Amino acid sequence: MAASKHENHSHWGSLGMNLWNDHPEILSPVGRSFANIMEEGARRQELPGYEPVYRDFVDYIMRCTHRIWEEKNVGLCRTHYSEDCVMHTLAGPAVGAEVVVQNTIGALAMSSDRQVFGEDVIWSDEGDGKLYSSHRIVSRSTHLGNDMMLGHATRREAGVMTIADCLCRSNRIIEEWLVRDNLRAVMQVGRDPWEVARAQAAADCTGDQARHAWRAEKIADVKGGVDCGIPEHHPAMLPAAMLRSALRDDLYGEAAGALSPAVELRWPGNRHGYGRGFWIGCLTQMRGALHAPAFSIEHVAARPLPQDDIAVAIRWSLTGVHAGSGVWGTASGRELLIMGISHYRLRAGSIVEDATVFDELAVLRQILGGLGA
Amino acid sequence: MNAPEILAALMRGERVKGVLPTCRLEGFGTEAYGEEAIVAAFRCQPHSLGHDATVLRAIGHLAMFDGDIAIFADLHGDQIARLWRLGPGTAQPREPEVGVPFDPDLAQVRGDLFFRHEDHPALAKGGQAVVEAIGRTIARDWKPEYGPAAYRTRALLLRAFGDLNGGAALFAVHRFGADPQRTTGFSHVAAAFSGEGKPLIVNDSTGSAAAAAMPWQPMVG
Repeated sequence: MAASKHENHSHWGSLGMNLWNDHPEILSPVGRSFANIMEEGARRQELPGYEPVYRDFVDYIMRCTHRIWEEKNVGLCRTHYSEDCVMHTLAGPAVGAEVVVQNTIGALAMSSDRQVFGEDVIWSDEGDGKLYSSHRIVSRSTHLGNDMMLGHATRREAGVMTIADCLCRSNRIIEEWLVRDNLRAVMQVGRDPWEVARAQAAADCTGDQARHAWRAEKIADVKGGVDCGIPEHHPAMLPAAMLRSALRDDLYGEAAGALSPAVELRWPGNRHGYGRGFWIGCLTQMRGALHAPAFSIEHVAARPLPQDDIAVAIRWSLTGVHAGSGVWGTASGRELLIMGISHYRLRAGSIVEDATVFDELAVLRQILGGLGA
Repeated sequence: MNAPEILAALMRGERVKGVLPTCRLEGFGTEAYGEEAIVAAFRCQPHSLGHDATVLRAIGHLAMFDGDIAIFADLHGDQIARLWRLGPGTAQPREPEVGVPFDPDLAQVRGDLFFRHEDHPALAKGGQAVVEAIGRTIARDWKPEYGPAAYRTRALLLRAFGDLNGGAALFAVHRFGADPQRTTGFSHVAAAFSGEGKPLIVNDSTGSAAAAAMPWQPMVG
């Protein structure tokens, strides 16, 4: 991609940090075979402190995921996560590499044949030796073992989209934000999502309620409404403005102008459709249930894709009062928090694809009084 | 093997190299993800392409038309990145979904066809008018045998390539039936066109039937 085409005049470059379209030789996994992605060889990017096997940052994310999940070398989490790493999910934060090890083993005990298909890694240079990745994965597995969320083994196949945003330094993930379409997984194995969420909420209501304090703190942050900075001329400006226009100003039609008229959308719960109207439908379905909303954009990244397309990742949070009956049943009056990540494909100045993930099962859990709601 | 050979073998249900790990197949009324699931889907309903099948190719695209069956592919080089299989067949079990109420038009003006030229760099200017005319015909003259749509039909152009002399296009078609309780419909429609004669149109009757059989559930439950 020609540098002049998407020239970035931000302060990023003057700070010695990579611009979004620097290092075109570091390829997205889009359009590459597994053999090509896993090919070993010389370094393509300076990565101080990273294991020599990793050729560049995209390779680090793709390869370590493969080594941990598919090769089952879960113990590598101890050298790939910091001891105080915080992993943020809508079910609450978890701290430390040992928790990651245990959770990964637990997941593999249930879905032993899990394959993690890395669809894209959209990354950014955060300065101070930190790199940030937004890794979109479709994981496929057979529900072979009993599990807290999916229940007794059904031997049905489950395949859902996950996006993991990781802040990394020197071969370790030092903070992670993980969103998974758990609602879809529950639906795929034939369980009632409300029943699952009710059991989770009941468990949340026992024990020390201080463990849910993070949620109120996060809601307060979102209400503060401070967005992360977006460098001038950065490709994320377009989808960020679109989300703000819709979720802050309720100008859905104006916002949808950023989308191609035939945009393709994949949203949680197997919502799949085309067109600006479908995107507005996804948002109004959610917004109709949420009154007095607050929205914040927390991180953006972009990378070039083949054939001059651009991939953009936006991590965002949304909060509001569940005062409208609709997609999530009868209004509960509870304050809800949603943590989402959206990946967009831009072509010739318009958004042609939107893959958005948030944990809608954790939304139901809050509606039913879980997570301290 | 080149992409048409890979795709032809895949349609016969053969396992071949050249399917990207993240490949999706939309066909047989459902969606299959990954090479293994895609091969399994074709194995259940294999099809050998006839010698007179129409094969159309451009950078990033491949389409094959054989009687009432059509297949569309996104390519990276000769590797298959995404697939749509259209035509008759036995619908496979469809995954539950949360329905999304939406307005396709965003205006009082009937939309018919939604597309943006810039989305389709492999569609030369001469081909744009042809594709546009085909899309409008699909929306305005929907055939009842394709599925219910007497009340509202809207076509969205997903893929297109070619020029005035020939090419192919893939549409997503959202529909409402005219009954007092509207039937909701969705299907893919593929078209092959040449410089002369009427375009070849293939409706995904399997997908259409599977979509029509889905309950309308615009909520989690």
